[in-house]
Amino acid sequence: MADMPTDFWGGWIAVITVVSLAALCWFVFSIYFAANGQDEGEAQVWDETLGEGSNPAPMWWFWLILSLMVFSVIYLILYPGLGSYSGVLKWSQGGRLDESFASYREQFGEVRQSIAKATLESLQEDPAIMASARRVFDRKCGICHGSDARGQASRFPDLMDEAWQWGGDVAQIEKTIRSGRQAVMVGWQAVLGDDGVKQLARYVRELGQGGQTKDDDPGKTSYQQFCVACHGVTGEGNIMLGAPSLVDDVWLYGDSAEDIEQTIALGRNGFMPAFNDRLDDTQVRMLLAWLTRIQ
Amino acid sequence: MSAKNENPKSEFYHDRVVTALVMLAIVWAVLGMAAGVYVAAELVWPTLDFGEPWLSFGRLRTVHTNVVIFGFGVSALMGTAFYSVQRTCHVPLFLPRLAWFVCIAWQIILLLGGLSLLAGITSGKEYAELEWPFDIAIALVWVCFGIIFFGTIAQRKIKPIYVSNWFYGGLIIVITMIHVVNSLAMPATLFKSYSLFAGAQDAILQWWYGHNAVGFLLTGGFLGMMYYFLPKQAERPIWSYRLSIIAFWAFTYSYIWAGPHHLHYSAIPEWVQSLAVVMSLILLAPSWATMINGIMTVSGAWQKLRTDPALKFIVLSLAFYGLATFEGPMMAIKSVNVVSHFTDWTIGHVHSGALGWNALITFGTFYFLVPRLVGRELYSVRLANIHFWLALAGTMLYVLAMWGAGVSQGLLWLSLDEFGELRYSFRDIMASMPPYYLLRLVAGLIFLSGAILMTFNLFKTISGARTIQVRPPAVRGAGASV
Repeated sequence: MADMPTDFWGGWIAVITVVSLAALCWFVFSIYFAANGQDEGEAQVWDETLGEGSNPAPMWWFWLILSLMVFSVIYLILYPGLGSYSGVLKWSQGGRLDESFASYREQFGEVRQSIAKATLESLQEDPAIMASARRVFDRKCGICHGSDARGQASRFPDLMDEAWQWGGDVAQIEKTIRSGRQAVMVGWQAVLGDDGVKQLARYVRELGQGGQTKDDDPGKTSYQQFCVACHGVTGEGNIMLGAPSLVDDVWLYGDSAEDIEQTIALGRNGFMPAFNDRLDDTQVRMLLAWLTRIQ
Repeated sequence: MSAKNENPKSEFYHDRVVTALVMLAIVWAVLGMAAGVYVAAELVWPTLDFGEPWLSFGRLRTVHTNVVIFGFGVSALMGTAFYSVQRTCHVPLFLPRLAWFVCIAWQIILLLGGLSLLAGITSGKEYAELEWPFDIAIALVWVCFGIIFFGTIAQRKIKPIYVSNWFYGGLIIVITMIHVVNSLAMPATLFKSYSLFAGAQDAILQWWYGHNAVGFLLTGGFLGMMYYFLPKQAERPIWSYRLSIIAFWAFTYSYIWAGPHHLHYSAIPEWVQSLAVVMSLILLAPSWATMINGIMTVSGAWQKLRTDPALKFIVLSLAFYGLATFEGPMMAIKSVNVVSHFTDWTIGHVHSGALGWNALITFGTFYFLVPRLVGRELYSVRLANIHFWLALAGTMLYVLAMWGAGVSQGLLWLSLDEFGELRYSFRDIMASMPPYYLLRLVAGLIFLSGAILMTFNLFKTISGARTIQVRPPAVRGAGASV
């Protein structure tokens, strides 16, 4: 057995267990059936009325401990318990897990295969599957995105709106779920200084509202110099880079002047972990159907 | 107690330290149970921590467990051990000043330790959360406790050692062993240390400690209390000497192995789990032997149950002891454990023991002990009877609420829908819990209000009185010559 450093220890455990259990049996039975002598101390009085009676232990209790002992012996013959002895049944925790998986596959394999291959539309038409998909989302995604998928805490994006930072196509969403995403917005404080950050923030807010900005606006100059590479000339964003649109009035980290200034000054690191190893194909399919359903 | 029987040449028993420990135990009981009620309320209304870290569930919960186990429980055990060992050995305490040191040092450890837990200082080991300076202090005080206890036994005037003393002795020896080994750690700073053990070994050791703290402190220690105070109160000898000796050794032997049943189906070796199953089942036998021994001791004195609140508490506590020691082995069976593990069933099981067994037997013992310590009648038998019903109702409600919560959690978590997905998310299940948690809060409030009644009753009994002075009796009986 892998958890024993040497063969010696398996034997050590087996011997200690068997010998001590046998000693306990012998001890119990020898006292149980000993002659009821006068040396048992029933004459002794410790404290006024405090003494020890000489009643024999009841027989039902004897049968109780005997049956527990017999059960224990049978259990230790059948299951791994005596050191490295693996038991008549060859039971193991890993084997139990394999069995459990096998019976799961037998029971649900077919229906899960069919879900993994089904079109999203057909899944979306089945209310039972959609209810099950909601529970998958609740278990696996809800902790960050909220159980209604509406996002949380100015940190985790709303998945029910139109804006998809990394693209809203089924294939793009699937990639996001399976591989995860790492968005990086660098901090510009050192480059722009306090005033520069404020001017740029003001410009970015106006950009979304379609306001007319003069060409010599220092915020616009900064935007064209530093931001266009990712967020685009018109602020439409770039799903290849996960650079969000700045003109859709969706602000993941908050839409106040202070929030946007902080984003520009210090940057942001949006992180979506990869779920490829935590979800199977069926679950990914269910999530895709649920997330892209028409409400 | 009768003066005519006293040995005039002997020194008086040292009972003032007993009175102090009993009173302190009562104070800790009210504080610890109040903390328990507060965390129960937080589980119904999570914002009750008001954003204060020291009021958060994680900190207050450890304060609750530490204060009730080590404040209420251990102070009561020390007090009753000091009281009964003198009377069963017919000698005053060995080193009475050391007994005062143990009493006071223990309270200081608890006070500072409780504050350190509120401040978020913890070693992260369940029921052993206090950091290394406290661990060392606990070990020192515990060894002093042992010196006093075994020193008194060594000077005894009666040769056979009464059965309550075996259990108190077992408590002192085993707790020293498991506390020291489990707490071995490398200090990094004054309030931060790193355990010497890691991974699966750390887990096995932690539950070797955790389960035997339940075994030898909350069970063995309180059995010592039962074996002295129940026959004293019933004024009958312990029913069967034989059963007590079988039960003691079978209990001591099998408990030590049982801890890994807290780690079923985890990354510990299979043989460790199997031996834990077997030994946990065997444990049922000595537990029930002790329960039968206690209950049969009262038989023939049943009429006292009508009038004597102290005896009512102790007999009821034995019923809960029987219940909890049946439930425990069942939960140690792997297929039951699959349902019960990580659910509130465990919390219910613990409290059927902690409230139904530990607290009730201690209440009964105090109602017996306090009037005798000060040589007065109990201030109000009526209040004690009301307390009895509050304690019974509180315990029953608590256990029922947690059974309901725990069994439904366990079964709902295992439930699959027709596509092989979990039928209920964690959040779905937690959303169905508030009624159970509210019921548990009510149960806790009922139990706490009973404890407050007792506090009032016993402080009224004791107020203005001094601990009376008693001398050991002139020795009689078979084994008197030592």
